[in-house]
Amino acid sequence: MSVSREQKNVASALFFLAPNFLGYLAFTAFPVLLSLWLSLTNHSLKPSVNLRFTGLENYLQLIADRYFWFYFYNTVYFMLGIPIGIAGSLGLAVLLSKPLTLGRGRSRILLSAGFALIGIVAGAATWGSGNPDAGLLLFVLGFLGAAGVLAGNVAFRTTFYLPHFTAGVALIILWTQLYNPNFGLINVTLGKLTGAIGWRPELPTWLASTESLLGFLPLPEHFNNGGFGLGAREAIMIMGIWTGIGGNSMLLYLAGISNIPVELYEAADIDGAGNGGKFWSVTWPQLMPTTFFIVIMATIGGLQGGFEQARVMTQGGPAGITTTLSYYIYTLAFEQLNLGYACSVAWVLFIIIFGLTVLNWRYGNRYVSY
Amino acid sequence: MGRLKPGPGTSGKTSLVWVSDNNPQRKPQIDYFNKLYSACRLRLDPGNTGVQKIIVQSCAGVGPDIFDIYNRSQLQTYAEAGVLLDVTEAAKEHGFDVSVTYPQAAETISLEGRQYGFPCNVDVNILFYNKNLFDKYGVPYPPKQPTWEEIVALGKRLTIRTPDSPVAECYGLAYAAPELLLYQAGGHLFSEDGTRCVVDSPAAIRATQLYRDLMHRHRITPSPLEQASMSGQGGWGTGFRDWFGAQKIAMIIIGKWALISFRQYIKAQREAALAGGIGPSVHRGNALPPLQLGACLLPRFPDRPPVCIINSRPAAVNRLGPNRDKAISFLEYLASKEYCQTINTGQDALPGNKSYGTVEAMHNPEFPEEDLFNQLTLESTRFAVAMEISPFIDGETARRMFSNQIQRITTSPRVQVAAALETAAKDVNAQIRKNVAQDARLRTRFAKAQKGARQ
Repeated sequence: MSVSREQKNVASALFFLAPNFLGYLAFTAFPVLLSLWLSLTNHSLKPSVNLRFTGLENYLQLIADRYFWFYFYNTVYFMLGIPIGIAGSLGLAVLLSKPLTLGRGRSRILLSAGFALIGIVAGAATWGSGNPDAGLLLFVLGFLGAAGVLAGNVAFRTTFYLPHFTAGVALIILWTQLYNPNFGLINVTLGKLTGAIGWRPELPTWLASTESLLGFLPLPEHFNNGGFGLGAREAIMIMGIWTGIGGNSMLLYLAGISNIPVELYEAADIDGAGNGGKFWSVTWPQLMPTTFFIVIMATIGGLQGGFEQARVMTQGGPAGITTTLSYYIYTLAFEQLNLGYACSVAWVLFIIIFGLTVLNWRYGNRYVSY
Repeated sequence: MGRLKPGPGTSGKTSLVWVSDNNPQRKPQIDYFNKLYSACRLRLDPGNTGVQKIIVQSCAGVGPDIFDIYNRSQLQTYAEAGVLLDVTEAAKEHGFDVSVTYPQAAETISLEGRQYGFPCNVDVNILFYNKNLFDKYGVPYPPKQPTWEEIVALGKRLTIRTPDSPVAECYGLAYAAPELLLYQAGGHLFSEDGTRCVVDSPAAIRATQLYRDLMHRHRITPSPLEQASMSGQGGWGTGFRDWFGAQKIAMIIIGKWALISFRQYIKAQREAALAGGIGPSVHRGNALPPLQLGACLLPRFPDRPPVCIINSRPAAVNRLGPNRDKAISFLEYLASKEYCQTINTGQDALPGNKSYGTVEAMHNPEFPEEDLFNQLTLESTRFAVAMEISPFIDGETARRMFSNQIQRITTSPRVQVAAALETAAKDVNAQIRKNVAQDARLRTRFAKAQKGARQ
């Protein structure tokens, strides 16, 4: 019996797909299904605990677990920064999509040198006046301006994307220093700015504080609500917004903007639309699919996030207010060795993510035109 | 085929992996072992410390042969995870059973009468003080056995604040751990049978109130906010030991192992003084001489006997490792004269074998002034207690719940000490009930303990 060409093609396709497929089965599908099974058991790394099928016991316990709800609240709280991050990315992408040409030939070089010189002089003066952090910042801004004049948007795009490919732990250490309540750049700058207008407010203590912007809410006692103000949650949120604004969302928006047909803007021009009109009538609707995708990915990322910051920056504190669900799963599994319960939290997290994504698809899609 | 774990080398020696920190002392300690036990080749793995790593690696069959345990909670976690080899019988046979170490340290290497390791070193804290600062501000040195009232009074005179700086120029005292104060006030973490968390007792409230007062009322120890500020200030370094070494803190509760760092500070400050530099040790515009150390026993509550916490760093053998018998030799080595001498020479706390933990054995002719610290440390072991654990809850989980509330107390003035401690006790007790409900063995034990308590 002869083997047809189609059968041969199928065989070779399977042959080439097999390694990937087997890898997926072994390292993704199997662990995922195993974790589902484990979530229905009392599985523990403690040998004294005999493996027992417990059905939905873990899930029922989870509903009554006060800490689960506290950490879920923390996770959702951090996600409040997502819209700001997305809006920032869009704004940045719109700015960076416009061609930037400042001068030509010799005048461009002179302008660039001027920026660099201003950076050096202002930076050195500020450093010399006893503020080395702000001095360094001015120095960097001067050189960024110089690079922007020489290389145009490429310099800015690279700069804004820089935090995204910098190691997370390095960024966290940097921000920990920035948040130093008395000597960090943020509070020093805030102190100087408020001092200039004769106002001396009590500055936020950032990572050492349990205050939050929703601190006025009558939350249960175990939520360790420290009252209204800027605290550790906001500190982490601001860092997340800063990292997110220039990240993948900005790149996606840049790609989206470059795909908008020029004819649409020309038509808007003929109709007499200004910059605002063009943005709301052309850019924003045309970017809806991109925004929709970014919202879904950011929601998923937000619900899964917070582990790195909690582990490195705050150890989940102060008083547990920066512990997110992903960090809770880690402590349950690897500190308390309670893998069964940790898996049930992970599956509930998955269900929440899946549910929100479905809602996004169901209702968010209405506003998207392809 | 490649191996996941090193097997016997070409020399035919058994390769042993010891997970410990990368202290400079490890090299001579390992060299001695390899010399004394020529059938083995011990090597250090400093990159895999951490309870989670060791448990997961051991369960996967690629764990180390020997690893260090840093506190009793960890000992309990490892034992519950089934990665600790019970060495009770082997210890008697090889001469490193619990009677070889300090009686108070026995609890740090054993659980429920079974021995799981032997201390690499044993540590109790004493109160070190900086004589320069006491002299400069005309404050008398603390007595040999001070009370907390005396320390607070001295600390207030030594805490020098200036209106233009958010941190003090000098703090009276570095830090007093809430657990230490708890035991000193006569409180406990758990009831005697371990079935209940009792951190909401009047003694615990008294201790925690003092902990808060030291920061916020007496203001002699840096608050968390001030600590964060100090870390970000140039020349101060990070952590209480560095701040004490930089002569910014007058008194510190710490073990004599800190002398390793203090010696370096003294050396650097002497060199700086000779070179005409002033370093960071400047007070009110005047440079201080190189660090001059004094010490006394830990402060106590006037109506309570003295108490300090004893801790050890036991090395344990991995029950799931392939070279268990050979690894036991390492525990035997930890009790040997050769090993204990490396601890004494390096001032790395007390040696695990109490026979070598004498003032004479610890005397170092190069640093004769350190005899006092050795003597005070030895004296402190007599009234030392080990940190309590409960068989019904993992120590790390209980600690997290307790410190969550301690953090609330220190970060928010609105939080009442009694209410926060009540929450901590409630949280820990809820977790105990949950654990007992899940584990049949614990259930039986819990019922038995409660029955015993009722009788």
